[in-house]
Amino acid sequence: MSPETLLAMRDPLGAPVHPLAVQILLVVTYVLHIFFVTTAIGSLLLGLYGLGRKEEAWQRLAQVAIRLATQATGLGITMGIAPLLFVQVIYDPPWYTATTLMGLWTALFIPIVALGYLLLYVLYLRGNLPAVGYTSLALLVLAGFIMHSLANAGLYPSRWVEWYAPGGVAYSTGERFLGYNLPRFTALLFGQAGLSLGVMLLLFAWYFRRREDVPKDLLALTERVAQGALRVGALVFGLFGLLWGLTQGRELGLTVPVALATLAVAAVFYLQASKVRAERALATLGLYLVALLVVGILREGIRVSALASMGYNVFRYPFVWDWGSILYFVATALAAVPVIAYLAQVLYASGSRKEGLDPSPQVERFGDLGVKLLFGWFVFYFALGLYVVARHF
Amino acid sequence: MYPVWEGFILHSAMVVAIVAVLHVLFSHVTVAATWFNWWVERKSLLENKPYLQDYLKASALRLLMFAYTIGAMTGVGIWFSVTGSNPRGISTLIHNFVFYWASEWFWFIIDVFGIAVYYYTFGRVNPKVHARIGLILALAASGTLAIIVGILGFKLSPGAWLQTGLSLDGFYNPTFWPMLFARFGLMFALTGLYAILVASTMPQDHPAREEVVRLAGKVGLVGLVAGVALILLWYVPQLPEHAKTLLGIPQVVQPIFFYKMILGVVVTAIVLGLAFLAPKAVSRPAVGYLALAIAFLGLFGAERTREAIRKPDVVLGYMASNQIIRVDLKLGNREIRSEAPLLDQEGVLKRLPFAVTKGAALAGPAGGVDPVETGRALVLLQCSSCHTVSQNTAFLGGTRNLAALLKRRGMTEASGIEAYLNAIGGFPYMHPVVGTPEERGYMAQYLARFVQEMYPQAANPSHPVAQGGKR
Repeated sequence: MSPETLLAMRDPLGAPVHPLAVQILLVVTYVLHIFFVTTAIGSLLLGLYGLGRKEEAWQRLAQVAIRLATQATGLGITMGIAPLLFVQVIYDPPWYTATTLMGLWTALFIPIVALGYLLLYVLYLRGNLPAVGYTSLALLVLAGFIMHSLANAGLYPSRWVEWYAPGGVAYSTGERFLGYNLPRFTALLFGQAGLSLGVMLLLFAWYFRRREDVPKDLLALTERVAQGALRVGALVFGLFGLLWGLTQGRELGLTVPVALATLAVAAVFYLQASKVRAERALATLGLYLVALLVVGILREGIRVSALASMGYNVFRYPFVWDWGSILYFVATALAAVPVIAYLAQVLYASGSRKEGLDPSPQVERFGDLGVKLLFGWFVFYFALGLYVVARHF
Repeated sequence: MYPVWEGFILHSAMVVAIVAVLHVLFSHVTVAATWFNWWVERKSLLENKPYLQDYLKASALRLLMFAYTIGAMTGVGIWFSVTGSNPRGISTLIHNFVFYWASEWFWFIIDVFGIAVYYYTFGRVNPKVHARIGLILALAASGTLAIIVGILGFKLSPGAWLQTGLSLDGFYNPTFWPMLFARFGLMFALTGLYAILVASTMPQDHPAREEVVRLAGKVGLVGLVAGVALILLWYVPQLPEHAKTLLGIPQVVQPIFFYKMILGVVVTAIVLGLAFLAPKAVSRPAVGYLALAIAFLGLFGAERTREAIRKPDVVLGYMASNQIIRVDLKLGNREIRSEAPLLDQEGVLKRLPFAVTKGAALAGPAGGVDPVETGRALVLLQCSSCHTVSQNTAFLGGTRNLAALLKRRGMTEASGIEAYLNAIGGFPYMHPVVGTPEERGYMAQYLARFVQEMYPQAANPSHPVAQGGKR
């Protein structure tokens, strides 16, 4: 594939904003997505382990972990929609080539995730059904591997034509995995799963530390497991991150950046593991989000660098400011973000006592405002539509 | 152009259709169920009927488990399956509407997070707060419908976008308004069926059972009548002339599509009517499942019809179904050039990176090329988005199987097929084949082999393709 051909594959409509804006949105939303995805995998692993233990505290922790896995899967999927959108705007040639080369897996991705998610609910509602849990885990890991392969196949434009037509004969059934790198996959899924689990368990222990009906031994166990998860996660992330640097990193001429970034993140969390306490859960969460951002930027750097070597400069992606769509997006964000914050506050308040608790009057006023904002959005939506229609009369 | 994913056993377009219709069914149920539940919850509070809360809990759990796993996820599943089957088509939508979808993403977050908050806070916050969460869910779910309607309608009726290139013009397109209100009505019919199903699973003597079924019948029937009336009286008249023409051509919209739609509407109307008049008669889970299955069939007919009347384009007047741009357009300050003239002049094999075949890359069409394999690559690129073009996806006949179609028209040999390919632009639902005359010859040779693979009895032993496919 020549550089000219690669550039010619970009969508003739161009991007609706400067590519840098899309790139920032891509990285930030990826961080949110991967946080919940790895939380789901980590907590499901812990839940399945806990189901096999006889101690009551472990049994309770297993139930907590399975519930966490269920909700994190839903949020992981939801958060994944945004980076999925943005990657197609400025990286359409690599993304669409990868998705068509692996068409079968592209189409199966959602059914696999949906089934895994549904089985998680069965596990959560029915309790001790490890076989269901392991099936769900296998499906979710397979889904992770599909997404990993899709992201990686796009990094090798020089191999695309040979992948599609080995020996010159077009291959159109799309059932092979291409471009994968197992160290990268292991570090980013399982290594980060340990770290995400550790952070989430700390948050759990922090949130329930004042609830008298939550046994102290459960909280102590949660804190201990959180420390262990951070330690194991850091080790897996560091070891496989190094291997990632020595394999894909070397192929792309990026051994040092990949190895340095992954080892630095691993070292920080390995050293933190024995010191973290529930009281410092929010600070640990903050640190972890920074670490995920570093990894997100590293992934993006790899993509930019790999494609730049084929003449694809993402910063020169053609664009036209589309103010209508930007207005629409900003208006929706202004209406929706306060509502999301309100829902989080209701959930936070309702779980703070065994019998539940109403949100404070201040939060309730915020809720009223949220409903008004949503109605306001519909007014905006219809008014904008009527304005657009009127312009063409 | 990108590599072609033909499908695997099932044709890629059929995969898209199944996922899309599942999504319509589950997502429409989800959206209207949030309104229905909000209404029932208010009724429970205002009329002091606490037993209705049991229905709400049962409904919310199923929504949490099924509607939001299957409903929301099949929405993303449409993206994935379309990406595999028609990447440039989805690319057009993404590059136009990325921030509209990003806006919808906010509503998704509220939906998925909100239904969990709604379910887990039953009895844990005061009823007023809980009802407010229900209202938030209903508004956000309606927001998702409000946005996707603009993007869906664009494909069939891009309207002023074809002159201005402004995304707002494409979003608020000519079929936007009728489709918005018609879908809003019809989704209450589907939700009526869903509510009947959920209420039927409650204990026989539960007071909510009959009351909810009756309410579901009433609401569903109003939605169904309004939705069907809006489709017939407002949506269809708003269709572009080209689409109206195709609506009357049986090769495009087979009569079976209409039968499915009529069956879906009639059965839904009967079940909802009975729910209102004689709730005991339909308060059985089997009735709910059967009615939803038939509604699925009706939706399948409706969605396939909507897709079919766009032919031969994926975005009417902009991009052909096979992803080739066939018009010169000035979209604001962007110049879009038709790709067809260059492909006709220089050849597809030379211009498209994935039009590769054995020998073609080295020798070019002039020599050393396996004509049948070359033809296969060209047919894959140009025909496979709408037709089954190989035995890979000929399962159950596939989508408009080209072998069956050619045999039916008596074209089993390359010469006849080539003449057919040359004339194909004369149909209102097909664009001319692109490429050089020599390339059309290769395509014909491959198609002749495909016919003979599928129907060996149609093979002519004297024909060179039947003897090995080389020349």
